[in-house]
Amino acid sequence: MAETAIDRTKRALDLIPYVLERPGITIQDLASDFAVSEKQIRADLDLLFVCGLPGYSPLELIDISTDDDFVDVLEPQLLDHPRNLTRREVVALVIALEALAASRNSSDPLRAMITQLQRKLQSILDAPVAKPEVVNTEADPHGVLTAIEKALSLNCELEVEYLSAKSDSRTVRRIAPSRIYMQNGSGYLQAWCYNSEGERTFRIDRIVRADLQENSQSSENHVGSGRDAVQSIIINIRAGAREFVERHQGICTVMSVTGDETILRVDVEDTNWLLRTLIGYGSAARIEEPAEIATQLSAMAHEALALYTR
Amino acid sequence: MASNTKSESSAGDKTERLINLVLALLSAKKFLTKSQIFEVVKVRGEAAYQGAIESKDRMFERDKDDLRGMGIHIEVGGLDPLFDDEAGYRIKESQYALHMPELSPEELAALSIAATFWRDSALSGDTQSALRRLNSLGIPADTTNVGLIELRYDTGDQNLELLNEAIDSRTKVSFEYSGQHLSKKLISPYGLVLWNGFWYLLGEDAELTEVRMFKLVRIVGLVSTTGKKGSYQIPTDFSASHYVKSVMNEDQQVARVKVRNGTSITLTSQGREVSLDDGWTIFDIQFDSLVSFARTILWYGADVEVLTPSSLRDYIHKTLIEVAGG
Repeated sequence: MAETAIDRTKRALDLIPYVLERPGITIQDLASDFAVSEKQIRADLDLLFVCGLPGYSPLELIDISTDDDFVDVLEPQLLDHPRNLTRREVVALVIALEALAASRNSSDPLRAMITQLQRKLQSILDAPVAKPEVVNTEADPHGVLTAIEKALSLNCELEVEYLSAKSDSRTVRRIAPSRIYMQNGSGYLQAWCYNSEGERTFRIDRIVRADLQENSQSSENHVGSGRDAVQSIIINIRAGAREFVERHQGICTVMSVTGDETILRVDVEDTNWLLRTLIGYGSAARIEEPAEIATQLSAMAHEALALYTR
Repeated sequence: MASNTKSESSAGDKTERLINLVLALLSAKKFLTKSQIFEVVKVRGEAAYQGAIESKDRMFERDKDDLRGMGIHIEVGGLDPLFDDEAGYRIKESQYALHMPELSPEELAALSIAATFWRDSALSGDTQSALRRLNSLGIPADTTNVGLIELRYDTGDQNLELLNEAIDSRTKVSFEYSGQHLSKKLISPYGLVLWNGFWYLLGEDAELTEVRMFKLVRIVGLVSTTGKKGSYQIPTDFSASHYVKSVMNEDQQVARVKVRNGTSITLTSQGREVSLDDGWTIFDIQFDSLVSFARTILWYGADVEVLTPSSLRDYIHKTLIEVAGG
């Protein structure tokens, strides 16, 4: 991979203040922090060693020592401060912070901190940058995020009360959290669920209570997939049901497109979930195969229809 | 590259030249003219700029552009009308260096977490580089209060960053949009919002001369910029979030629904209980969009009946007939 002189110059300039903050850092750590090879870091340091101020006498050159792979900057010349952020970098950080803000309730102190931080980032530019906005639907309506994060950092288990839209139930489960993430404005918790003996993903906004189970160091490495069998359903989707595909890209495979109609294969573990979702799209989503699932859908609609035809 | 000068022969030489040029311009108390720069800037004992004056000039102009591309501000000045009109250059420390107003340890940690958002995108390199410099300011990161959440942006293309850049530089964009029909849009972009699980672009549609909302996942392929930068203005009173809220509030309504006792827990947890009936409970629930709320109600099948408004009741009734009949 050919690297440009510009990329290399940036890294070389940035190495000096980085090492100054971490006297004695190893070549290995620098390579990992700057995401390049150790060989490259050595070459960069060798190069910096011959750079300096006009005059280029020993007193005017940058001085770096690399004893036993421990790096120290002895004379940074004028490069002791990190290079300013570029506009592009500020833009990227401001957008990312907005996405982080979306993970918290509007009353969370982190939100105010993020707003202030965005302002500080903007202040280093000549003109402020455009900033995307999060129109808030509260990501953590029951205020359970802090408990989850505590469990993660202490490697503890949690007892959660979960509203499952899938089974329309309120269940209490014992779980060992493994990670939390935000995706498109919704928070998710991935955890081992002891009740279902499997890895499960929970929506954070449906966890109504999360209690830390003290002294419950979760046992590492849960094995077994714990997943139900996947079934493939063939669906005919029209424009009115396109949102179904947009929301569930991960389980949808487009088989063919003819005019307005798309034939889709959906792989699901839980056909009940699929039926309940599809019923909302009316005639814009039609199950082609298997026939018994199509019959179940129409039976479900018949049953509900009874409420409206009395 | 067509250059045949010795000092351009390897990337190492150019890197050294750029670093020494930065150092020379940083150390200059006065503006350095080009001829002074050619004289004093050296690479391993030899003049950094070699060859005929035109090729030196060209090389220097390119270096200047490269440094500016890195965000390094090169000041031009020192024109003395009494003597000659040769411009001088320097880099001010205050502009070269990153001076963040009192960044706290928590703020630094928040930036590290935020940066996970761009992990798999073209901006990943930029954000990681920015973080390393922020981590060179002598501030320890304190992660205790900022949590452990990771961010994922999974639309899987560059449109979010392209659009934000276009908004920033006030450049019009065009793209294929899969709305009611597939059509070509020419938009003056105003803002981006994350709402209800999707990213949206707000902007003035050139054809309709009206502000419209576009779902990023419905943009086919990549957006392309058209025309010059600064080719339109965003009304000073425009706020993307206000626009979205006004669109939502236009039809903010309350539905009265009848729920079979002990069911539909996620639905009723958002509502207000009104009265008890035989085996059923009545709730009032706020909603914005009729279609998406109807889908939510239909999820519960025969456990929920909408009483009012009639527009919602009729829509659900009609949808059920469609599905039942099929």
